[in-house]
Amino acid sequence: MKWDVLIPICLALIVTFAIGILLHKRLKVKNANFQEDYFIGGRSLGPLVLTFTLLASAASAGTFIGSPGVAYNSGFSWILILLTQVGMGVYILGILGKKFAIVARKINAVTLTDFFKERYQSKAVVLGSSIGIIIFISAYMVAQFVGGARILESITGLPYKTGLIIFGLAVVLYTVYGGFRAVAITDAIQGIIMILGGVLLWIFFFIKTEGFSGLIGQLVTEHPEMVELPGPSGATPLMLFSYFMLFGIAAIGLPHASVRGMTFKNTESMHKSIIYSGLIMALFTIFFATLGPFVKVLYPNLSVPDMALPTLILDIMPGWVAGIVLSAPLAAIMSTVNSMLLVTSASVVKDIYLNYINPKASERKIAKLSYFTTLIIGVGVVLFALTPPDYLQFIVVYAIGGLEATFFAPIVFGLYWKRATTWGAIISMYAGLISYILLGELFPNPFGMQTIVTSTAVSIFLMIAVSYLSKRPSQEVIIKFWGSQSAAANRGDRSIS
Amino acid sequence: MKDQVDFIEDSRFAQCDKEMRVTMWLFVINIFLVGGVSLWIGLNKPAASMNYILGFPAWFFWGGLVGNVIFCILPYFMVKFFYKDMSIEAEDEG
Repeated sequence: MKWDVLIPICLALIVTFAIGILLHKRLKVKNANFQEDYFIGGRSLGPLVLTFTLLASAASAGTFIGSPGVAYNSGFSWILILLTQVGMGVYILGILGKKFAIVARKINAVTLTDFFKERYQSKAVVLGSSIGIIIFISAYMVAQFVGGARILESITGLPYKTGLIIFGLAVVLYTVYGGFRAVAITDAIQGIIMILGGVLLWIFFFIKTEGFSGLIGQLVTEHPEMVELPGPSGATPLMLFSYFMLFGIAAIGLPHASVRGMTFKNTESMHKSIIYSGLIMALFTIFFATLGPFVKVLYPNLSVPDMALPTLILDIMPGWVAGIVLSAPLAAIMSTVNSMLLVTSASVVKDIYLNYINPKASERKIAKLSYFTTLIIGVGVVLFALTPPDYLQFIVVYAIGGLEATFFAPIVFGLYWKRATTWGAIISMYAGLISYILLGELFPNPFGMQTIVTSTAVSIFLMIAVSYLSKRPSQEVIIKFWGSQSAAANRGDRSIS
Repeated sequence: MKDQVDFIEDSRFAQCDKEMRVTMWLFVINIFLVGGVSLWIGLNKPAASMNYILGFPAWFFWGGLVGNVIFCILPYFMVKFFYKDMSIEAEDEG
């Protein structure tokens, strides 16, 4: 066991949680109710925490481990593809925008499903979206934990199950205890660790190796395809465009990311966060993925490409620095899992229990139930990760794209198009999901584009067509979403007097 | 219908819609600035005839790195010129 690497990783974890717990108590919002506070941090996030929690929930282990590994084999074309995620935060905040935050306040929404429930007034939409969230996101959490424990095992020698249980339970207990605001704070700290890790990595890289200019010549001679376009990752114009959709704009459909559009304190936070988020996502991406092709020159024969970056890190850095840098991918995993955990538990408590089982539950009962649900889901996810079932991989492959294809049209059209109807939403959701899975199994990448583009297009088309064919939404819904509340109040006063 | 006469739209939403459209334009710019430039310089060019800048293929340097640096600055101007501060509470001021 490599204690010199393991100890800094554990310390980073402990310090992060300690700061999180301290700040969490200090930042408590006084007059927010429990659900608002626990699931979306009392709508009180400032710009820095908002940026990091948005990006850290979206950037998972893939950015730090998976992508350098793919770039190790495919070269620069893959890094270009990955760079399509730079604008993700800008698009989530800019397109959902203030309107999403205002509407969420008008209707008191704390989950995406709340938004759907008020906008489309349909059980099929509410149950479909909450069950979809629970299945897909839980599976994705299991996969993240499996990835995290494997990284921990290969870099420190800590046995898989031990690592999983310690690491997994720490994340779960912290999330149960602190709720959204605590999670957002640790996301911010972990985001800073990721950036610092990147800076350290580049410094050591330039000291210990010949640098990019020194290594590129050898790369071009030995693997010319790795500097070419479309290159081994197939970055043709249409393919690249689909990745801009998949990693950029369609991320609006990811419930654990889009729910953050309800959480900012005021427009100043949101404006600043839009400015920061492009820059920070660019740093996350460039710092880590860009090294992938150069690792190929230094260590040409790695059997597991995912080990490309860890191998480099362990080789060029003293153990304790390597520990700090390698806590970045683990931090990324934690910050993705904790936000997903809250979204899933909000779905169970808020969308299913409070809507259909016991609408009159007291505040205390909701609180108890929320802690309990988060704990059970979290522990369940860790248990599943101990011996991941075979069908898991199938769900994970479709998780991210499936969520995007399902939710993109109902959110964006529901928010900006008054004519979007219940039937439009139902058909577009299910058509998006089903076409995504069917196309993925039968004809992947139709028209030379990623499957997600085709199925999102199907979903958008059906949203428009079915909405025009069905009855317009009731005036009540329109007034609730679009109407001016103060104008309504003034009119009410006048008619009384 | 009587109901429809009564309906007054929240005065902030016109601005919100405008901000959404501006963001969509930024997405288009993003695609051309990063994807377009990279493909324009590098598509189907063999490694032997490529230029290299600071150890990166020229297409990646201009599209992937410089393109993204410019793209990271653009949101600043977008917010400055097109976005407006407003209350985001449930009640509007109108």
